[in-house]
Amino acid sequence: MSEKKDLTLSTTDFSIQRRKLLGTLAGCSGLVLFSQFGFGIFSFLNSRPPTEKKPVQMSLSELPLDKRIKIIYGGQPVEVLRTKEGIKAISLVCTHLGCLVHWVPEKNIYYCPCHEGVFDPDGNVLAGPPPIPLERLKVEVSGSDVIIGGV
Amino acid sequence: MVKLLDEIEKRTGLVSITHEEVFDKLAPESVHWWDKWGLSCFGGLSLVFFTIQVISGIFLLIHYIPHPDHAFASVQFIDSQVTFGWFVRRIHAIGSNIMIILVLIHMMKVFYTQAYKSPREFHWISGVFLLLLTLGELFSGYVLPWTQMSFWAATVVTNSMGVVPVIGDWVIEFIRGGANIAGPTLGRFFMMHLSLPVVMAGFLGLHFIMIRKTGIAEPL
Repeated sequence: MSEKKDLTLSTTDFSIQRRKLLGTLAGCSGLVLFSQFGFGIFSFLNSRPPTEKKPVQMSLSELPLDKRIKIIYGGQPVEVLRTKEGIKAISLVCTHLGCLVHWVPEKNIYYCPCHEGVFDPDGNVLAGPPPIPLERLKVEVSGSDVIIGGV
Repeated sequence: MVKLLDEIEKRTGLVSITHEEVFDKLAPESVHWWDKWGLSCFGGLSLVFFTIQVISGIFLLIHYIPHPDHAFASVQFIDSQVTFGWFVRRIHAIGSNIMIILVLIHMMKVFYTQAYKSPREFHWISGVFLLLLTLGELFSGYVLPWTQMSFWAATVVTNSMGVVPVIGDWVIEFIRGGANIAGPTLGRFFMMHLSLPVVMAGFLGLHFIMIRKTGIAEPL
């Protein structure tokens, strides 16, 4: 606010005001220039190989009945299980802080060893800190092809 | 800003030290850059390029992978995918060439003006170490992209170390980490490329403290 007041032409010493104005303008253009540098540096640091979530294609013969198959979808492990009711694909990434859960056959649960998160066979939370169920991926069956993931 | 500096000065005294040692310490008139065709500034310019190499090198480290299967691909990634990656890599590669030229001119100037004489013998000796370290940096850095050029340059240079009597063959294997240029060689050269600058920084400190003590040699 005080800066603005100094720049009005109503006060007496023009040369000092002019210097202040020029200084402010130089500072502003410097800031613009520097932020461009900053953006360039950020883009350099931010560059990485693309990780797209490509749908995974499998054939039914790869999915024996009641056998848990691990696949990688979008760089993360997913468990695919074919039962009489159908095929389900559950992400093994714990919804609490991203550790990997594993299936415990004796207790019929998915268990996360990091903070003792417990999920039921459908990925719903039974106990522990996870806030939401495990991610269920879309499964599409056409003929003998199974497509997992995708929108 | 001024107030902040005042507070820092009150607690550490850094501001006045900086003023005494840097801002108020002017170069003697006889060695202003326009004297002697500007030849007295090449030591300082070498330091500037050392700094540029360190900073651009740190940036490259983010994307470089020191593994024989991934090194070349990661360098290609830097050149083609990373924003301004090609630019930073060019700065690092061309900067190294400029740096060695500056270092050699600095060395020649000191040699021809006989500035290495007493009381500055140790300046010269530390400078020779710095030259060798700089050459080590150039060579180890040349190997890191793991191209055909890198591979054969590493072959030739490590082979030439075999001329050392008696222990020559052992030296070759020690540097290569095996009988041939392979994965272990890349690891060793990567280690060398990152640790030599630390040693260099030590020698640079010595170099500068000594030149502060004796002052720059008077012109002939």
